[in-house]
Amino acid sequence: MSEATPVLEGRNLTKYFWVRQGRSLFARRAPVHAVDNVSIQLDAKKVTAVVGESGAGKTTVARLLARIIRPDQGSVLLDGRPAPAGRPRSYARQVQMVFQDPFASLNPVHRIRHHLERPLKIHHLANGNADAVIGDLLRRVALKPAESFTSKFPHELSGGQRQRVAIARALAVKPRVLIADEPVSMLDVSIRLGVLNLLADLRDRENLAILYVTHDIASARYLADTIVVMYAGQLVEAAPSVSLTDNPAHPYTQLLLSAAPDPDRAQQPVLAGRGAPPSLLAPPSGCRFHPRCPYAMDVCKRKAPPSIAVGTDHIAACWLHVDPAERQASENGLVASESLEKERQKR
Amino acid sequence: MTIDSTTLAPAPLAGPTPGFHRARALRLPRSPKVIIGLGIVGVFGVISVIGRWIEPYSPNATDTQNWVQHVLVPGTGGDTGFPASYYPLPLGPSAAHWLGTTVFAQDVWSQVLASTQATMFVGLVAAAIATVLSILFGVSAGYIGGGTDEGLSLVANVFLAIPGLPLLIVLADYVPSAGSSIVVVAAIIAITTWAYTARTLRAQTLSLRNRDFVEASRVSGEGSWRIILVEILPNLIPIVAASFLFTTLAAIAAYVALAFLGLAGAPTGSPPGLWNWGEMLREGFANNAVRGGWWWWWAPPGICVAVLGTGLALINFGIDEFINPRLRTAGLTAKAAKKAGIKTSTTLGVTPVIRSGPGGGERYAPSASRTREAAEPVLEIRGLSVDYGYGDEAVHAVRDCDLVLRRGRVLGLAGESGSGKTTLALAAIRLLRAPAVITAGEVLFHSKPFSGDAPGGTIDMLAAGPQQLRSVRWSEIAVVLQSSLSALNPVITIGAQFDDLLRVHRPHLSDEERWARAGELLDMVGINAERLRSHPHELSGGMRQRAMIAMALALEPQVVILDEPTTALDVVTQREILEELMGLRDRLGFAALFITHDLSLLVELADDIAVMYAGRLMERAPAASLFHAPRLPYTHGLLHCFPPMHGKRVPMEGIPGSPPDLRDLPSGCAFHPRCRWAMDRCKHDEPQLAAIDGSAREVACWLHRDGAQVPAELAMPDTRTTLREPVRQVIEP
Amino acid sequence: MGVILRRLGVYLLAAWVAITVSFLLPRVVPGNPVAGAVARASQSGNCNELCVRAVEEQLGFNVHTSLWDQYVQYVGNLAHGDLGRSWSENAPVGTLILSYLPWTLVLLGIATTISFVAGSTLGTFIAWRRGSWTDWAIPFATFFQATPYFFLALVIVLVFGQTGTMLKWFPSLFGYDIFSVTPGPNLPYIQSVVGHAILPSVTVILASMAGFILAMRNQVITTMDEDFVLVAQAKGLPNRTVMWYAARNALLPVVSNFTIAISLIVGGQILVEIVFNYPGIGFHLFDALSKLDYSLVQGIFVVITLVVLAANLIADVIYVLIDPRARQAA
Repeated sequence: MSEATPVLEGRNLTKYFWVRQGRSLFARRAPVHAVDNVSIQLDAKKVTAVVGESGAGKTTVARLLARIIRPDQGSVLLDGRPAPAGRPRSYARQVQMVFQDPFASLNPVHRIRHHLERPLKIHHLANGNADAVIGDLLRRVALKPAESFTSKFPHELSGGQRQRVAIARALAVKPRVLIADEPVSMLDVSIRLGVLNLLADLRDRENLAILYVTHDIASARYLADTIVVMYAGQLVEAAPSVSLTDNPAHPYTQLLLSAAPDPDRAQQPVLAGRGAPPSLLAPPSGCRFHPRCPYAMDVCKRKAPPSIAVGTDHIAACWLHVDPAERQASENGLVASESLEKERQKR
Repeated sequence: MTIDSTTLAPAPLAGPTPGFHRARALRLPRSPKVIIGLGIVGVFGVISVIGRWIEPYSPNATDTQNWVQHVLVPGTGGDTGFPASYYPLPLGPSAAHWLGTTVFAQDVWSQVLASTQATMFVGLVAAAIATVLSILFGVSAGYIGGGTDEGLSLVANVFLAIPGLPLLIVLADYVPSAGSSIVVVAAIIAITTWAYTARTLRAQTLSLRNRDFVEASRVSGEGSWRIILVEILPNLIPIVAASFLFTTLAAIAAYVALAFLGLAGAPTGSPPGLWNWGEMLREGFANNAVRGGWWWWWAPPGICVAVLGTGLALINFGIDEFINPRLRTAGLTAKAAKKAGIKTSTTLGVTPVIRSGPGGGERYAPSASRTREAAEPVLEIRGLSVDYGYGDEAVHAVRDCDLVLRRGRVLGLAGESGSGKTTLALAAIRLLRAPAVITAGEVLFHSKPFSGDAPGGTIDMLAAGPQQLRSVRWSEIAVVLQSSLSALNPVITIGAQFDDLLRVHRPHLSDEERWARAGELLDMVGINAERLRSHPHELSGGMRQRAMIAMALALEPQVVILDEPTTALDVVTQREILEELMGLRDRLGFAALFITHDLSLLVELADDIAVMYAGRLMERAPAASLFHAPRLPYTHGLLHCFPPMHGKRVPMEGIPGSPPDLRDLPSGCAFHPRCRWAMDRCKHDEPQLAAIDGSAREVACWLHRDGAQVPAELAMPDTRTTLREPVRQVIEP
Repeated sequence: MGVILRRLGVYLLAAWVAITVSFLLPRVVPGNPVAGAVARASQSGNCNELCVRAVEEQLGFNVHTSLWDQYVQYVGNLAHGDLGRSWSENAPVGTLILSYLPWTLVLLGIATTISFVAGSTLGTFIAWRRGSWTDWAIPFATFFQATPYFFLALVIVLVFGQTGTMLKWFPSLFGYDIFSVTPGPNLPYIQSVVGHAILPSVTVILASMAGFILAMRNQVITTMDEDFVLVAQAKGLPNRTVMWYAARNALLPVVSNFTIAISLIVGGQILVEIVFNYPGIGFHLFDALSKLDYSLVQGIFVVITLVVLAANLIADVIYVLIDPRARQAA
């Protein structure tokens, strides 16, 4: 999308989780197609949002990029170079993560100081003045006065304060990429914007590349520069956030938008594509959205759609946007495309 | 995906996270159970250390001076030709021998004192070995996972399945030094008792390993050893402690049993063993002390085992209550309730009402004149206040709330977690559990049943007895909760749960009719009637919530309370279910009280909205008015917490600060610390919900009182009567 | 059936471990007392040369084949139901155990069932009525749980037993009146057996029930906080039904922890049989221990293990029957 090398890039990421079917000793293990061939780029000073319903694979993408889990196929590139195997500390210094549940992401037995001190010690960043660095970190996430927080335990803090501590911990190593997995969904409504604004601030002031995983498309529109929509483990649409929400190209994105609460909406929305996401143990053939899609065609059942540019930096994986002739061609395979070629020559 | 407000409501008493908190750990010793337990164990601990010095006699010594009771040994003396030989009889308790003597004229009290040391030693050493073993096994199995886990778990399960005592007997029988070395005995006991703890620790480690804070440490580059030692182990301390005490108890029991069987070495044997309680019991039993009625000989060691065991178990109770706060709350609640004069046991399923003053009825005039439409009220809540806890510890979760639900309308109740919205709704039907108490107010249910044989007329819900409440509940007022998975009984089928309901409320229906009716109801919400045979876990989240809604409508209630019914669901499912729900509302005509934190959703579907903050109602208005012309700073702020889906992106502020802690509310208006328009007055005086002069709008805010300067944002013209006018087309591809 | 098969696998492995342990102990533990036992067997006069040889072979004494060959033979014998020969009784161990087993099984089965049913019911009741006088049951239950089975047996003999010194209400020695009735299907014998079973079973029930009471109470209290109990109350269901909802769910963890319970009960019952001279395998284990009859000790250990494993399997089947989630996975 942009010419510069992205800070962090996931290329054709695929991840299966193997689950035992039944609890028998010799039960067959079957793959859950959690993430299937997803490519995503995170640029410096940009927030990229991944939007989708639960089970869409958005958290898995976040964890693949954080290298908490390994992809079965595909690669993660840091500054255009393949990320080192495993998760060495050098990678941890570049890529940090913030988790969904601030009640679970801080260890209840340790004080706030411990949570911020450890990353500094691991990466030898404190140089003897840990207290000053910790104070600075807390101030950067707007926890003031910083001194009053360092000796507190997590349970003495409110949800929003805890999430800010979690962000401060991620910032401690001065990373270039921050992966935030649903960072506000567990927080009270009135304090969500505060955390989102903090993330926007970090992007602008510290040039962070941020991945914002969320199910709330309105907050993605608010915060993100680019929105990526996932459905059933696949990427279905990606675009600059305003153009995606104003002109959604994929039927699933349209469905998501029509379902989102929006009192400003002029009319009662009509849901096109009712139903639930498919089981990822046996995903539908072709386009995974086709069983629900109001515009489903024959080709959708048979072949996965290609990613098509539908506007500036706007791509959608949907046969609707493929030229009918080409659609026909790719469906009929080589023979058809040859005949198409002949036709063109005739003309 | 928000924090469940129903679980947070009683949070002031039961902490929401069952983890290990230093602050709570300090509270542990305060429970009387733990104090008694610690006392008992402490006394035995002291005795085991100083017992050898304070024993009045040597436990082996025969007290010939006090050897007064004796019988002639058969076959001696008299005409037998053998010199008379006497067999001693045990002596009952006396001043010289506090617990009497054994048949060998040994002092029982001294033996008890001498025995304590070995018994305690074996218990503690065995428990220590077993605990170390189980930590090694459990933590590595839980942390490493995969094949290692399966292998180690199998070993633990095998050890768990083999009966402990028989294995112990066989082992002790063959290991020759078991009779003389108590360390060997302890080791053998440890081998037979570690597996249970290992299994518990494995399960805990497994759940901790997947907790975000462990993941976060890993992401920050922390090494495995530090993660296990610094991040995971401290969280296991309560469980390790409980297991250690449990194992100590089990080890003492095993040691006593082993000694009773004569496998732990006799003190006078060769090689000599040590005095222990089991050995005393064995000697008593072997020398017919039961038949002789010499209870003082064998009863003291037995009682010692039981008392020490009780002490250990009491400490464990404390730890259990600490790990599982529900158990503790139960005890605290009962006691505090007793103090407050409430019989919790007789009010199960019915929230108690303790009104100190007169009911709120007289203070509140009927408000029908104030509303624009004259739909008649079906549920009237007046001046309702609810506390969690009793007396000084009470947390005022809901204070002085008025709410009128009108027939066939949707009333939205909005607020953040802890604002008291769920508490208010559930208190109205008296469904809140202990330690909740209704402390003031009045709830009137004006019943006009659609069908069924429920009573009509006005019912005073707070005065109703359990029987009357049961007849109103569900048949006239039904409830749908947020998590359908936990709201449905997991072990019986959906059909059986419909059946239970219909059997009670529609007794005239036959089995087949009930089943058919249940099928119809499922059909109504778009679920195949075949699903009646399914268990809750076999349905998706959306289907379960639909089934729950079908169940709520089964008896054609006049009121349905919807407590965050779609919060746990994805947006598409949420929208589908809400559409269905509103369609059913139009068809069936029930009134709905819709509770949610999502004001933007509420604006779309409610007729009227009430906004709650810190346990109080702060603003009430028709939905369109509230959305287009909020009057309360909090409502205004809340509406600006939802980024718009259209138009230019502009920075938004949200509301600064955090929702207040109900235990420590700000003075005056509870919202003033977060309010951008707060005045001096707001810090001292609490505003009451009342109509703004010259309008129908109700708000609890000083900005709208006594001619204060109203900010422009809060003075938008209130002219819109519907939320939206048809302007734009639906998005087409 | 998956869950059950998996558990069965664990139990087969456990049985194998028990058998192997009883094979290895007399052979590899240094300085173990087997020599003394064999000497005593040959001196006893109860055991001829052939019998002594059999005992030696069983315990691996004076046997010069390899350990592996011995093991193969040992396991082979077991597979044919040959548990060796008891020198003290001069009879095959298998036959002996078969004659002891009914006493133990009947006592164990009846006592465990009554204890489980009554304990769970009481536990539910106490949890349901928490905050009332029933809370007094908890310290008592704790005390009973900590009391060794055999100590409780001694107290019960003292107070109620005919060999005790107080009330002398019930017989407290042997499995039936060995002086006045002849074993067989006759009424006096059956009456005598029932009469003699009263005190041992009461002991086992009292001692084991406390555990079930406490476990069930804790589980019911925890379950009563679940939403589905709240919904049951909101449905206006009668209290009885609501209590059943809670109890039915609370039962699941109690049943799944049955392994630990049954192990404790069996261990306890062994000692109770000793106190009452009750002719089950526990009493004979004690007897064999004191006579250094290791063949019999080993045989009894293996059989007790198998009995406990079978009880575990029954508990697993019950669990699968009452938990639809496990049933589905099964």
